[in-house]
Amino acid sequence: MKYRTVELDGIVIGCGGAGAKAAIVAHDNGAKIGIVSKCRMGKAHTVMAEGGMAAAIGPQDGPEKHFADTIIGGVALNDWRKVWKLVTGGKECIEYLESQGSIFDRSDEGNVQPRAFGGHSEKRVCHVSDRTGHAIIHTLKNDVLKRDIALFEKTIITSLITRNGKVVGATALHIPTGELVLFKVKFAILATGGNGAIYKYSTNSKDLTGDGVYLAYEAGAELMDMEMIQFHPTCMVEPEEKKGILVTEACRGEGGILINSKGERFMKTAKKPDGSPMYVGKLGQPELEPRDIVARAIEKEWEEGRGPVRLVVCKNAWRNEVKRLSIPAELHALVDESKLLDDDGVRKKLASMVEQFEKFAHTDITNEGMIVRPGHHYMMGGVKTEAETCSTRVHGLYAAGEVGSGVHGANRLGGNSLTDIQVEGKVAGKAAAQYAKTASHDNCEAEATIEFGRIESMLGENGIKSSSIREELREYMWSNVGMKRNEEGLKKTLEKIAELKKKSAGVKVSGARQGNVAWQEAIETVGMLAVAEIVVRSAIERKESRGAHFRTDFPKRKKEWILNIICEKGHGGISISKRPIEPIPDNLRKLIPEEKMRELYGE
Amino acid sequence: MENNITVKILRTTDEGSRFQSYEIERVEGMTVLGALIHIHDNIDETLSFDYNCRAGRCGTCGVVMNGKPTLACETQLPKTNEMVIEPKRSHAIIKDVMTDDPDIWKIRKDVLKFPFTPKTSQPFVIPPHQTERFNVLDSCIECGLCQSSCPNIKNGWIGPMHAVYAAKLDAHPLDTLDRSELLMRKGIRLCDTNFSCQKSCPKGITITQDAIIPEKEAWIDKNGIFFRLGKQ
Ligand SMILES: Cc1cc2nc3c(=O)[nH]c(=O)nc-3n(C[C@H](O)[C@H](O)[C@H](O)COP(=O)(O)OP(=O)(O)OC[C@H]3O[C@@H](n4cnc5c(N)ncnc54)[C@H](O)[C@@H]3O)c2cc1C
Ligand code: SF4
Ligand code: FES
Repeated sequence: MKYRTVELDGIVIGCGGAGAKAAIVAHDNGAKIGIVSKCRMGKAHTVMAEGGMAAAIGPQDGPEKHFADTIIGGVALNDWRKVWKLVTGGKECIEYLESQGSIFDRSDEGNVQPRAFGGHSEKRVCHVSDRTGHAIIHTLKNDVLKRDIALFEKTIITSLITRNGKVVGATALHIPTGELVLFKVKFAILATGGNGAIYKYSTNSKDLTGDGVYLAYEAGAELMDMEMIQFHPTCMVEPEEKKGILVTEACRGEGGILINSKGERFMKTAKKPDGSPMYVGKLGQPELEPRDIVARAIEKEWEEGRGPVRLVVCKNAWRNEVKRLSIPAELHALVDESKLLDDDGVRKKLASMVEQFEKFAHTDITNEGMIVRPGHHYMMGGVKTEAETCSTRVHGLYAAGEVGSGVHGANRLGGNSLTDIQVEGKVAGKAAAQYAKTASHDNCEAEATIEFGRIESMLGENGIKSSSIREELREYMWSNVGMKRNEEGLKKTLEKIAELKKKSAGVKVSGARQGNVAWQEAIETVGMLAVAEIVVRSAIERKESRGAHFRTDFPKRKKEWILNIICEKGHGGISISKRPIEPIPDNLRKLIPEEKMRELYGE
Repeated sequence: MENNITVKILRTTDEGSRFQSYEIERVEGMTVLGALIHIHDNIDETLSFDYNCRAGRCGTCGVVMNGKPTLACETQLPKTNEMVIEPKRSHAIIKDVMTDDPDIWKIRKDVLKFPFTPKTSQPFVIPPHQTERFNVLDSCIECGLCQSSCPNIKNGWIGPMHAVYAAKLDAHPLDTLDRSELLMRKGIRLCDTNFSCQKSCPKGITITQDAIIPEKEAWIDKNGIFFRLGKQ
């Protein structure tokens, strides 16, 4: 078997915000490091992030409030240690990015001016127009380029090699040349992002096939909370090709409102049985409830025949909708027009949205509302790691960013991921570099040869196409493992996955080795099926509804389910267990308002 | 069929490049990328091309469509019966319309020898009206379409995309360096300001106006007129 061998202290897998940051910090702590990524630098999914990154920098704000909001949003499933790291790390992230030449949006006086976001009790989402991820990824990329960090772009890691519970290598395929590569390393940092590709409609970029979760699982690490998948409330609906593309939460953060086909601002009119408002939201806006709640409210309107739901951000658009939908005066009164942006404000603050709707839907969002519906967005669960080091139970294996778990609990607050990826990237990079100082390389050629054999055996003629398997998987996951789940649908999906797994053994990829997209897809599909199964089994296990996980057959939240669901590779397949969550220490517990504590913990 | 479109793609074969045609159905709102994905998934999985975000953010999906550098994911199918797809120019072809820019980071590293160097310490106070030109240049997604459209990328001109990055740093209200000298060494004088980069930029970045001309001006302001360059 012909392959190239590269020896380094360690590799970072993925060049999103988490990967780039981890590589920089590992390098600066003395590690000889490389970044391996399916895409080129600056192209990772992080580039898509729009609305902003959360940092408690306002005069009224502080990590304490941010901490409470994040735990409330995550419905008590969060790892409090990670949350504390997140909320105390935001300010430094902004300072670092600006020290490298990024400029966050500012007030007239010239200071960084955060915006409102769902679930945040203060304006704390700092942003670069509505292309914050773009600013972060390019800034980090350039900082990587200033260093002696080896780059292996357009290269997919296919497996991790372990010996005696330690990472010693990783196998890879370089897509442009079709060359096989063995990385001999002391550590690997997973920064592979989420798993959007297993769902039919997702905001995620193509690369996000859940590889990191699969690699970690196969290497013997634990996975946690994999049932917790966030559905973003507002995604594009038309045209079909762009269904699922994100409509940023910044639209609501900048005052945008949601109306149904009757022109009713339904999040304002919804009432609890006792007549009090169902949604209070934050900062006086019911549309700024946490995402799981807004997503379910929007979906309900569609399902009950009051769609399309529109998101209106502009004064002018609101006036036009009033006329077009003949909105009666009493509904009209629910909207304070002065809180909406004017044309100019929309073009400045939501520039990407203006462009996106113009190009994809031929809609001018300063003139009309945007038609929106929820879609797959974010993986709250992932590889289980320690808060202090981002290490897994496999020595030398670390995970940072969306591929990790625990920070966001059962529901992520908007803006918290862009902070998280940088905070965790730093933690992982530092810990891994430290570990490398005492760890050693080991042989892994035998394992590599077997793995390369598996990859090579996918080439051939007249086999099943992996695209057909993916399509069926996505359809099933979307229909049965989406915002609403029940035992029957989940079990049906498990059967389907089993069938698709059998089918995938017959996948063959034709064509040359060079630039073979289908080869990459065939490799990914194996992992996607495994990851989908883990999501479904975890969802079956959690017999309650909490945050993003909503079971129609167990619609209530239950105190006894304040625990993590852990998956690991067992002898006969996935082994599942429940693990208690470390209680929040008293000094931090006090930060959460009492009535919220009662709501969350039934105290 | 009336609603069909013929997609002619320049493909890499053992015998060199040749066009291959595929007939597909037009779907409402279908983009060039949508057509490529449809062909790959349903007709010919050996077709190679690149994309990631499918939303005009990552700059991975550039191709030349009917002669024009195009971001595939945000360009709807043309009204014509035929659409010709070729790889980005001034890029290396990996296979079919999958391309690579092998020098991109080498050049960027040269520019990064002049990193952002602020005149004040943090926290920075930057009134928003000072960042207008910076913001325009900062929205570059590094798709390389301007590079692909530039007729003068040769003889050492690194091209408009790199000029946009250098000019962005120069446009930072707090930056203290001047990168015009660097750009002059990297061939900016070969740019004949024909605006093809600016016209091809999918993000509407006014490259000629806000990057190239200000940099040339800055150099002249510092060094006097162009012909002195001969002495260097
Ligand atoms: C449209 C959109 C808007 C968003 N807006 C916001 C926002 O405003 N605020 C916020 O906080 N969050 C936002 N998010 C979420 C946030 O962007 C992501 O959670 C975050 O960027 C994830 O970063 P990451 O570094 O963990 O991974 P990613 O950026 O996803 O990077 C993953 C990397 O891993 C690579 N990779 C994967 N598998 C392999 C493999 N097998 N081998 C090699 N490489 C591999 C990929 O190529 C890629 O480079 C948004 C998400 C989307 C989709
Ligand atoms: S300036 Fe425009 S065309 Fe050139 S790389 Fe940037 S976004 Fe692409
Ligand atoms: S796929 Fe990202 S810009 Fe087209």
